[in-house]
Amino acid sequence: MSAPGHVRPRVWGALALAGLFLLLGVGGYSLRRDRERLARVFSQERELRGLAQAVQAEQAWLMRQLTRPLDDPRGLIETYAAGTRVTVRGAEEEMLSDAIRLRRVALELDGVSWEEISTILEAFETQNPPWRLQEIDLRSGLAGLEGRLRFEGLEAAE
Amino acid sequence: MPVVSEDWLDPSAWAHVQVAWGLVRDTDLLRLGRMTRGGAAELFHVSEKEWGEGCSLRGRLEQEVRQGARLVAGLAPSRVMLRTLHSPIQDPVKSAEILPSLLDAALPFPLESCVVAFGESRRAEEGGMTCLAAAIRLEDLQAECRSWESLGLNPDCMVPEALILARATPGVHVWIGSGRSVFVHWTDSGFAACGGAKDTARDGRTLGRFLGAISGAPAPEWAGPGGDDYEEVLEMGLARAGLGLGNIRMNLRADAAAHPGLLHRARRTRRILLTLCAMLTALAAGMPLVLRTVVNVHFEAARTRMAGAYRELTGSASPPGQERLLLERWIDREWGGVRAATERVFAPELRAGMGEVLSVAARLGITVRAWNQDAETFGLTFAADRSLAERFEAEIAGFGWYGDLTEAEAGAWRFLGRREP
Repeated sequence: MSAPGHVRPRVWGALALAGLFLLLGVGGYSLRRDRERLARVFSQERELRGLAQAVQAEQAWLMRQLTRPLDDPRGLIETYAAGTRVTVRGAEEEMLSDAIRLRRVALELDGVSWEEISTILEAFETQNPPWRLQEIDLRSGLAGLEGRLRFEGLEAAE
Repeated sequence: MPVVSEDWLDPSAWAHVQVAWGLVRDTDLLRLGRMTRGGAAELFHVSEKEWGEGCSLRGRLEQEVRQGARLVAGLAPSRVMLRTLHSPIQDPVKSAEILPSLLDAALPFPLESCVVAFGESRRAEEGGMTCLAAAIRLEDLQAECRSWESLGLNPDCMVPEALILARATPGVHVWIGSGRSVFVHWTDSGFAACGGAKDTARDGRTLGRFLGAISGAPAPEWAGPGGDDYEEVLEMGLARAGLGLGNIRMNLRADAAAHPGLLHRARRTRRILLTLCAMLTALAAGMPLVLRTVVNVHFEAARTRMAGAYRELTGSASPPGQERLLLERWIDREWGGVRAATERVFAPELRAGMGEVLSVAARLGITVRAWNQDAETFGLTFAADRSLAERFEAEIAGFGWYGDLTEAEAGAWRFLGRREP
């Protein structure tokens, strides 16, 4: 018959308990770090989604505005200011992204009145999408106002 | 020298029972006390002859033993030696180390041949520590076991009868049975001496010598079947001890000599405790891993969603963890131009206010010679005298046109400014 030793293993129990607390402590610390790591990645995800949604919302809004191509500047002049001495110059195009194109155009004026200029400006700026006036450079000449108007507009790439 | 370990001094601390029987052999009589945890107490006595023939009481006891009842047998003073040990050392731990040596000196047998149990040490009035110790020769313990086995009984515990007898009260207590007696002297400071006799006379020679050895011996209190107080019986005290009541922590049937059933239970209890410890440790070790796995699953899911959102917008993949930073750069690079152009193209019209300025000029009789304007600045050149130019400047400020008025040449003014929103 062998001796059973202590029924309640005090030393081993104490050691196991100490080990248990140590493991719990290490586990708790590790868990807290993991939780912080998770909170960080969730925060990043929220920010990323916020950025993406903002851009997607801007894209969607812009594409709704650009359902039509920009009107041809010469056609606008012929329609709204026929007979004025206006020349379309400096037409430029720039692809801002795969889907968006920026167009610039300059109108050379010679001997036009303020009223005619107002008509041209209104014609260009009230289109959908608009040609937005970016620069005016006018001065009085011998036969009226002369100078230049610069416009730019956005349209969806084909 | 087998020393009874702490756990075995009172097995009821780890092996609870609901019923305990106290067993006392009184010459050819067997005295039994039965007690339940609920407090129900019964006393029996039966001759060994009747017991051997299989009386109904024996059948009842054997059935209850099978159901887990505990049997506690008393050890007569002739079998067990009780000694109060005095250690001059104040420190309890160091004092405990010399207790075996002190006991060895106090015993007539070699300590190695005995099973010994030490009670709780406490501070002695005269200084140092004092401790009650019990010792029984291993062969005596085995003989006791055999003796009980001859009656078909196998006690779980064996406790000195002298410790059961009126333990809490100072004085001389004598238990008188049918064929023997037990006597014990308790003082205010604890156990003093004990003895036993094979006669039951109150004026017996052995008891007389025992009382004579006590200076100023108080009048004995007589208990037991032959005494004045029948309730103060050994068998009931033993049964109480079997239930863990009465703080009798001096079981000598322990460790190697323990009852096989109790030994099995001890091992099982130990195994359960160890298993519990192992499970708790595994749980404590495993729980963080499980939680970490859960965290990692969520982490990877968030990463996958981020990668998907990045890919959906940009059409390309990103190194893991850099999606947010790279998306910001992508937006600046790919969308910055569109955003700036959109702000320009869909900003308030540049011509806004132009009509009002021209109408003010017409009303004041001013001729506008030149007009230069872009998104941020504008310049007007017009012909007017000073007072008219200043009035013109004041009026167009009302439309949000602010700037500096300078005379460009005689009779011509230049207004350079900016538009306030």
